[in-house]
Amino acid sequence: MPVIDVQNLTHVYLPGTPYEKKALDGVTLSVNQGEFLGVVGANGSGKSTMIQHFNGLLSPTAGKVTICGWDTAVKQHRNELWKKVGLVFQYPEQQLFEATVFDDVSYGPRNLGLSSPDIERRTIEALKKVGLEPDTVAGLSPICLSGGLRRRVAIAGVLAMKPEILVLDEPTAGLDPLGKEMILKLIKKLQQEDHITIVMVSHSIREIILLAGRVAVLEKGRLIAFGNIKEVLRQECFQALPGVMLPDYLQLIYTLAGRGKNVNTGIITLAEAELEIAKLLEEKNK
Amino acid sequence: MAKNSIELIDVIKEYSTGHSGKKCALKNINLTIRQGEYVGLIGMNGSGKTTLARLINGLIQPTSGKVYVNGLDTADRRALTRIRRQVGMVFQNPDNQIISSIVEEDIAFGPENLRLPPDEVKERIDWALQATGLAELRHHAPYLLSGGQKQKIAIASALAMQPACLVLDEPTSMLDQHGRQDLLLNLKELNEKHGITIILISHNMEDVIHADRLIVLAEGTVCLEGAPWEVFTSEENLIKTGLKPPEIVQMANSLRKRGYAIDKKIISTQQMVEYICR
Repeated sequence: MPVIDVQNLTHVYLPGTPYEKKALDGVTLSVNQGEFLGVVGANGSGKSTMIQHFNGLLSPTAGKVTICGWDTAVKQHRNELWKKVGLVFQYPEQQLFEATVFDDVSYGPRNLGLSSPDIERRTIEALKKVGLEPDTVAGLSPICLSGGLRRRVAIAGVLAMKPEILVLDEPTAGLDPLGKEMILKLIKKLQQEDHITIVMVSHSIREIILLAGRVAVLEKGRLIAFGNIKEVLRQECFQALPGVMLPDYLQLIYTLAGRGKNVNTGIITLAEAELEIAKLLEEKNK
Repeated sequence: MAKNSIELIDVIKEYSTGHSGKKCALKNINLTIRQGEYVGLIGMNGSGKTTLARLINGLIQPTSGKVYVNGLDTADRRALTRIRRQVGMVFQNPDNQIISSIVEEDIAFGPENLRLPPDEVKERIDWALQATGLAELRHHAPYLLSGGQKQKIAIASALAMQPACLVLDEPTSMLDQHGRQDLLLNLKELNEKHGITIILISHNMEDVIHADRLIVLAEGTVCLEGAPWEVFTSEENLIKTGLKPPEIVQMANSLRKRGYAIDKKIISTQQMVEYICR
């Protein structure tokens, strides 16, 4: 049974006002337990709106969202949803507010009414999961950490709630290449080792290619493609999609194919692309 | 000090970290950026990029050394207003600089405070909206727009001041491919047609391939400098600073090692396509 089931979801902001805006239009998809779903699309395509439905922050204008069997439209379910689904917003480090890393990460568990040994155990566990050494960072103020570390603290705060589903909105935005790699590895590990279901929003298809099993592509609030990453990559509507940041090497391969060059467009990594180009250069030199 | 340039002379910037600790964010920087130049400022998180940007329009003062903007000393408080009219800043997070509840009002804020006549304010708003592709969203509320759209508003607001120099701190971090390409084209055009100095801070190497010159910062010092192709092809040095060249250049560098003679000046997908199809 899918843990996330979205049927015909439509969301309209400020209905009946001059600013009425349809952000999602008849989206249907499902995510299975332990899966890694990538969500891509242009700015304003409805990505962030969609994921806010996954933990009941938003309620459908039309359609139905069921998370772990709970209907998100029913307000009484919300408390359960917030425990099951951890939502990591864009720039989550801006939400850090406590004086120490420990207090910030333990904020969620404290509000669950757990005993203090339990709270401490969960906090330390969460810090370890994001690759931080509890003994060295727990007592520090989040302000004196770098952006990448602060983001990991923010993610630890969500993990301390032990969510079954982790939803991340642009988790690598604004980080340098090393910081990005660290966060991506961490997310993949959570899926592989802890079997947490992951939904990751990104406008970089490069990140999705390397991590996700399936991908959902949104454009102007509609789901225009949904499925296995290789299949979606091959669809022309997807390659032409303005909002999707294809890696340059894939763009190179697709452009060359379009110019009638004999290249394999089924590749997904840089190393594979390099081999294709080497082949072309060999032919050219003959 | 030259009239038409931004100059940093022996600049050191230290921040205090709590009780007694100090962190040196910039160590002895000497730089000259000519009027009309397009400079890409790259480096890891914590390498001093943002500190450098903030020094340039006098938001912060150097611990020692001097910063001159078109001959004006940023340490001279009376010159700050003039300096900030010449150097427009676009910060990393647009939410930090959007102040109005309607897009066009936000863009009008700067020009109105210059006490320009309403006609000219309107003209500047129109131009800034058009240059950033925001015309449709003119009457919208910024807080209801997406991150990328807000980033464009921040850029439009800076443009409406018609600055001599535009400093953009990671302006593409929240933009999608389309928005990113649009913005880079806009910047190139602003630079070429209007002669505006562009200082583009990024750690996305693909963003800075249009620059005339790249300046690579690592741990508060300038450790590499030159035309984009020069910086990208000295891959080992770049990797030491924690950065990687664009994937197309990585591919070209690697093919070159395998014995294929590929022109070192190829740094974009387009150039690579032309090279292979030639």
